[in-house]
Amino acid sequence: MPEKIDLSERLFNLTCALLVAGSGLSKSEIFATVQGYKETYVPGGDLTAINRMFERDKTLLSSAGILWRSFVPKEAMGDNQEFRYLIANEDFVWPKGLTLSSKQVALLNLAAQVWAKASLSADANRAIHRIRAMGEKADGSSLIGIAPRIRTHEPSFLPLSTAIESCSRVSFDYLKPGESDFSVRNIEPWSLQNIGGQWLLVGFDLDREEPRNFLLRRIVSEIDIQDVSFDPPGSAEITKTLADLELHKLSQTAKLKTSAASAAWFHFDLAANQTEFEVNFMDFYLFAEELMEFADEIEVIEPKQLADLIRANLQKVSDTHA
Amino acid sequence: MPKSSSLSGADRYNFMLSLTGYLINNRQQGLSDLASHFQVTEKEIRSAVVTISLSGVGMYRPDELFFLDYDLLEEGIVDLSFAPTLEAVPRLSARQAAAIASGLSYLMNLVDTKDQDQIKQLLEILGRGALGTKELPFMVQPTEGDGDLSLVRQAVAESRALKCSYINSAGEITNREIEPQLLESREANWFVKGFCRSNQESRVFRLDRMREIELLEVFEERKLADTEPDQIYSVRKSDIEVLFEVDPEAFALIADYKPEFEISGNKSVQVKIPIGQLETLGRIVAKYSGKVRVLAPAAARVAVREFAQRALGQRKAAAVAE
Repeated sequence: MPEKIDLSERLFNLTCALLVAGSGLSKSEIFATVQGYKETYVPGGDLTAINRMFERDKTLLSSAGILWRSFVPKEAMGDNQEFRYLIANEDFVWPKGLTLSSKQVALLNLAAQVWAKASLSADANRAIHRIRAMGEKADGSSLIGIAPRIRTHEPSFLPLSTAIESCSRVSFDYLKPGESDFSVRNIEPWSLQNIGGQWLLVGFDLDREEPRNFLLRRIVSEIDIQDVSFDPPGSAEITKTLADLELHKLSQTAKLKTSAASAAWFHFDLAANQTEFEVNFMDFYLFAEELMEFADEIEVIEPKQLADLIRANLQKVSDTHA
Repeated sequence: MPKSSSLSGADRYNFMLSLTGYLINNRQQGLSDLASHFQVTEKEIRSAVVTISLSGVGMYRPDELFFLDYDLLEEGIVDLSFAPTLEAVPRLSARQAAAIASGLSYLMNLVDTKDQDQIKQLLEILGRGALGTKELPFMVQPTEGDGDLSLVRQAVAESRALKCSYINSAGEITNREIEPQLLESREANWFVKGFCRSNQESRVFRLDRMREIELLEVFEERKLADTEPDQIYSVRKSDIEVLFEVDPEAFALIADYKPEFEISGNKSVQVKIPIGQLETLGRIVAKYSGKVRVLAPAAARVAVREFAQRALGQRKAAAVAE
């Protein structure tokens, strides 16, 4: 009896097989020769299970960034048209001539640590294994003692990133602040962006027929990933949406007042005798929340909407603790 | 032969690909050197190279594709050779590249200008190194630079004490001398962990509560009490257990104060968190504008309500004065 081959070994064997097979392998050749398949393969038998396994493995390779190609050889055109599979070396390896310095490796290591324990730490660690495999050791003496962290505690982060990778349409319930009911949004998801600590989904809103941004924390349902794909946007489109967002932020200014030597005065890094100051903000509700911890020492001169929001928030806090 | 592995399927597959790439370019490596380079156990390395050597695909039978020198392995040396030209290390997947690129971008304004140039180069490499021309599925936008931040980073890296003016959560301003040991972050907020010479004990300081930071001399290393990694504030005996009810939108609070608490689903949860001073609770809870509610003890509810009413009162008084 052959020993049972686990998933990691089967994927490794499949990868090697597709890498060394110059003219590609057909499915039946893979089933007959690759360990992990050949143990269960019966030519002419019921192939449902082994076919399913192969489909799953192909998806796993793709999500690991191992790009396989499939093609029908010219001489077989019109014949039985069996696909052949291979991994081209140029798709597999890093760009030629790429080397990393020990300092760069140290920076990459630290960049991976940013995700410690967050949902992306597995991906970051796998990346670091591949980076270490390039051989250079880390030298990060100037980076000792830094423990930066990004978090993704929004449950929608992972499903959205998966949908972005596969260019699949999504829909979800979105609750805008100040509104009592959520609305269903149908979106072509383009990109997730973290701006000032907040995760945003940038995508094309199919009902409003224009690019829109969504704060992940305002998504109140699970993400429904649909079996409808779309053409990925060019980088210019995403860049433009982000630039519009920045312009929007610059167009919104709050005039605030605090007293010298208050926590707000420290936080906003005001000059010695400065008590009035201006801040640009992206979103009324987010900015009101940011100001809440200084609510007892900050006065909003304008806009009135911001002052009203802070007052309403305080009232809510007071009421819920009555 | 050890066959058990602590790495899971996809992680082990990734690791075997990486290790293979490394060993192609680096013959005759010590087991212990490999373990320390990849930061995995020797057992893991041994198990992986044995699996690699046993993989047989296509026209290559086991032991023909890869040849492992078992005699050398007994002496703790890994020597793996290859029949065909399997070229080097796999590039990163889109997710892996996005995780690392996001981390680098987050570090951008923390490191010195020399390292910033390195980060820019690396971001370009990651853009090319990931799948074809597709955009990275997610990205962190760099935050604005902060002079205090780079100053404290320098102090940590060079083990230099610093002095500053500090406002605590009770609003008291003092001059402090701090031996900074660790610079940590939670998204937009930075924290300095270190030994406070003024209080003669380890403390956590919020960077945005510091002003007029100056670097002092190099300090002698001290043995500090271990704190829980990833927990910003350490728990003290005098702390009061406060019961919170937290809506999904405010899960960040739990991540900050009780990172070990498992959050799942999209529903409000109740969690007990030890709090040092009830007077600070108002600020903490107000930030979440009603999405965090203190349930018990009664004194904690009073503290939150009083903060909100004080802030509301100040608002009313200001309105009357106009």
